[in-house]
Amino acid sequence: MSQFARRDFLKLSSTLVGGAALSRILPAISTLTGQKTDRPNVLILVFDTMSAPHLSLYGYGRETTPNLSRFADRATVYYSHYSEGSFTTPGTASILTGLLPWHHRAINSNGLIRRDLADNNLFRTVGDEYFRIGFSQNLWADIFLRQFNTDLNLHLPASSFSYNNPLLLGDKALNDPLPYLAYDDFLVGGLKVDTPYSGSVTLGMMAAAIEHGLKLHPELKLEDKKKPPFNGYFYFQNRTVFQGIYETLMRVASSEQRPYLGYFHLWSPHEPYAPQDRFKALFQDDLKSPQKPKHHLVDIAVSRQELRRYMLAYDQYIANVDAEFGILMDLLMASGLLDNTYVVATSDHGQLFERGVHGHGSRLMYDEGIHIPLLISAPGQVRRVDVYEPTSNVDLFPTLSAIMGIQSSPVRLDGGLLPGFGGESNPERSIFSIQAKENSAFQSLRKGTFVLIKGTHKLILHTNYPGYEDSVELYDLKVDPYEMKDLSLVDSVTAKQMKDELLTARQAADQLNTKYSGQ
Amino acid sequence: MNPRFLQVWHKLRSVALKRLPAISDILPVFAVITTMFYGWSMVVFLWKLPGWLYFLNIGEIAGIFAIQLLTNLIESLVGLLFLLAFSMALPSRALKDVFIVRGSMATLVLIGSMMLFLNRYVSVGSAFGRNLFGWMLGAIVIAVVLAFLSTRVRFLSVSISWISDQLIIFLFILMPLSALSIIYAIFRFFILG
Repeated sequence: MSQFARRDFLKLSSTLVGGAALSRILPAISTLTGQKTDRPNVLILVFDTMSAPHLSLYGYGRETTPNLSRFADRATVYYSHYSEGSFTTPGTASILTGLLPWHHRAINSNGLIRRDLADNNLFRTVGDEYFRIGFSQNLWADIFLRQFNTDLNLHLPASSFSYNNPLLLGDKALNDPLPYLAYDDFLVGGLKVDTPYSGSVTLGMMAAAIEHGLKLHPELKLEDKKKPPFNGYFYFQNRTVFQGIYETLMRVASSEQRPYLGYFHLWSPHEPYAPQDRFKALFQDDLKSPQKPKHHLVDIAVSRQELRRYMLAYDQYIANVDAEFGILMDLLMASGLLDNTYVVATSDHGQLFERGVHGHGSRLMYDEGIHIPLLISAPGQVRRVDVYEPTSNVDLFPTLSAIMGIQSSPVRLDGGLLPGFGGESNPERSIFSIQAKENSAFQSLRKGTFVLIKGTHKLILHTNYPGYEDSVELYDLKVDPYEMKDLSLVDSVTAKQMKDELLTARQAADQLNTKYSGQ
Repeated sequence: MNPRFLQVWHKLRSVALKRLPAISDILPVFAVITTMFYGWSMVVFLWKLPGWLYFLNIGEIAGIFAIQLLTNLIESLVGLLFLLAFSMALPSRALKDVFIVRGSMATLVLIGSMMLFLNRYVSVGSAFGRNLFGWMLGAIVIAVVLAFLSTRVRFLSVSISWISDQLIIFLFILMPLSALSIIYAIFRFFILG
């Protein structure tokens, strides 16, 4: 395993300066491609926290994704695609192992894939026939890349392509996020989930004083228009990150004879939303969305007004990310790198702006939180293919294995080939998604939210929450996409059937896990 | 330069120097300040370290450590300067003549109260910030009272003198480390950067 250091990136950057310059020298670079293979490259782009209901590609009322829509004109577009969990850990682990969370057991925040199943990852399965690149800006996803470290040829550090510190050092430490990290994450820190205590007593006191002062006089808060996106650990610019991905692919394509499998897990559009100025002006509309009452499982509800404000910023940020995606695709296409490349664009989970919840990983698993985009563009594809059958990210592993001509893993996978890539069309297929982070990964899953989507129906089962010991909700997504009308009492037969199926599958998974953990 | 100005300057300088405590008195107080500031940062640093090991290399962690040491050095010097300023402003018998005991006591109470405040701030949340002004005012009052009492109560004065004297050992560790961190920072951020 080799680490592509920032220093290497800087050296590379010094030879390839800026997108404009790149576009001028692209013809020359394309001749550098050293690949000698019939097998296709596979480029997986995971946009963290991208909710399908917020993409104009899928009919959203705001024009958030013109570039994804453009990309869709030559891709297979999945309309009912779901993540297996409502936050990064279970969702990403399922992409990389082809297993449902109750099998791979990365169910807790910061969790790992069950040790005996960790070898069953996409990179190991593909093997040395491919040059395997892993990069995640999300550290919870990067944990998996570290778990698969020996299966990667190039594991880019999470802080690759991160932003420099204009406050302290100006241009003198280009691409160096260290002072930001030292001060914002450590010395000033304070009241962050991962850094409750400020590393410096005086800076911590000053931060507390400033925060209190701003509460008293919010008008003093300066609008920091140049504040870069922040992932809790480092600052970055989306443009730099996308540029970094492009340059990495160029470098690999020009130096490797093998095809590549690139997994790039991007932080954006995860919060905090940081759209650039030109995107902040978008969507000054009065988009109507259904008023959904606060859910009783929510302790501290976010007001509707706040939710609308968050949603606007989120939509603007999606538009920002979409624009960067468009630039990346244009560059890749112009360079000829897409001629032999499958491009997969998806997400690890969605984002909720309803029933008092802003965010993901809560106990609620409504559509916004788990319904995610999936687009796969094949080399030379010139027309759009729409797939409406329910699909899930566990299907990516077997599908990509097949695309790369690799015998899939010896472990029985939970997914199957995607329709459009050899998979059978099955509108009544069962799709599972779970949120069980309040359980031990080694024990049976008792407390949590479990979802089964079958046909047009969606069953949500809450178990062992206070007041929700055994509670079901049933929706018909075709006639009620906003999940406003609970049918569990009206259509109790369907509700019972789906609940039985869900509990049977959960019990079977628990039994397998019990065998492993020796309980 | 105007000889009159020089004369005034020299006079002010000699008065200021006369009002400053001796170096042998300043060092124990500085030791208390540095131990508290550096100590707090080290605890948080070690708390953060296991997480950093996941995604930072040794050079980057060393860089953060250097920035931490530099910050601690600056806040320690600023803290000491505050005490020295008070020493010059107040009558000699109020602080200068008993600098070790009263200076150390004031340091312990003030920095300790800041640490306690941050602890409560984390436990209660940002709403605790509303107590900041009252808290610091209370801390200053307590620091003044205890500093006054510390020279009157023999047990306190002996204890504090002993503690501050013992802490000087840390200066022999922390100051060279801080000097190294300055060199590291210059190379890391200005020459190599």
